[in-house]
Amino acid sequence: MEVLYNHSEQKLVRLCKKGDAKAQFKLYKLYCKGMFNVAMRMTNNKSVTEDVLQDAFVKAFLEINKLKDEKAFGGWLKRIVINRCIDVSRKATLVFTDLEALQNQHLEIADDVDCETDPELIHNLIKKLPDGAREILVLRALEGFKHAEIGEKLGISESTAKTQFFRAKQLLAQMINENEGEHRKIFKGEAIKA
Amino acid sequence: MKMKENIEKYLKEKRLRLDVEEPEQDLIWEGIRSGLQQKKKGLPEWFWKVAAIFIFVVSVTYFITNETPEKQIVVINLSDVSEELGEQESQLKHLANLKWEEVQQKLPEENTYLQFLLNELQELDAIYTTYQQDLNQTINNEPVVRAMLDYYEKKVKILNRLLLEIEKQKYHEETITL
Repeated sequence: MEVLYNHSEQKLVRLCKKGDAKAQFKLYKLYCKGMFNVAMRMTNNKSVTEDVLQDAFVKAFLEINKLKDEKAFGGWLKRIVINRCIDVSRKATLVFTDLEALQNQHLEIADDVDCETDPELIHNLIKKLPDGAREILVLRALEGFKHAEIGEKLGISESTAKTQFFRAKQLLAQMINENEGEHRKIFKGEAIKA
Repeated sequence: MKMKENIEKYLKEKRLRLDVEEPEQDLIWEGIRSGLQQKKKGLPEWFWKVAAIFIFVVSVTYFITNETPEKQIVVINLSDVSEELGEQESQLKHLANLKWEEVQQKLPEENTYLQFLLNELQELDAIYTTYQQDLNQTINNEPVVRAMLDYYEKKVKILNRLLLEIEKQKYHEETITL
């Protein structure tokens, strides 16, 4: 998520450093939705996401004095949210084996999608990806993490992270295309009935 | 026909449009607010660090100012240095005490003529106290040990002189009377 930086945000960060509750609330409002969606894609669980957000914002406000570059609050907060998501998923033990089955079956699947695909559909399909694949896809394709860093965070090798990302993209493309195929069938059926 | 594009490129371009879900902002904020209040209730970590440093500094200062060697003086005798020296000291001390008792017995009421010797004795005792302190700090320091033994010898000499002066005076008085 990128929030356009402006001076009022910098001012809010400064006020938060002094413990100003109103500024904390304003800053929360500014980043709540974006962070919520990041965490939802990472965890695919609403109540877990809400807990993650609460923990992340509390940590951010308590440790905001450690943030030297006041313009970097958004990125810093997102790192806290993502790290918290990973902590939570580690407790639940990530499963990377789901994609191994795909490795043999769908090697030739292209990862192209329709340019006009609804982003909401993509968001919901990302959430349906297997846990390990979903996290790697979100971290790499949406949040711009490098494979090496992903490997480090998730406790896997860089090459495993790369392979998993490749399979996750294929799986997501397959899910999108299947979904659109079903959508077309329904649309055709309704047209015939009419 | 619809245009196709690589999924990675698509995700990058439509990144912001993927944030479609609306959180229950008030509910989450309530959790954050109570989380912050709970953390504030407990004393912050820095407080305990400062308190620990303060207690340490106060303790060290107290130790330095109250436990200095001057206050820790333990009277050490020559017997603490060696048995032989202790015996030597004990004999000299015994002799000095006997002489002093004798002086006290013979000391006349009118003794102004002996005052300079009595003063010398007092000064000698004061010097002996400083020897004891030196011995306490240096332990088995030969010059100090020698000075301490010398003290008894000097004391006995002064006491002998006192007795002699008393005898002289007594003799003088008796001679004049005769």
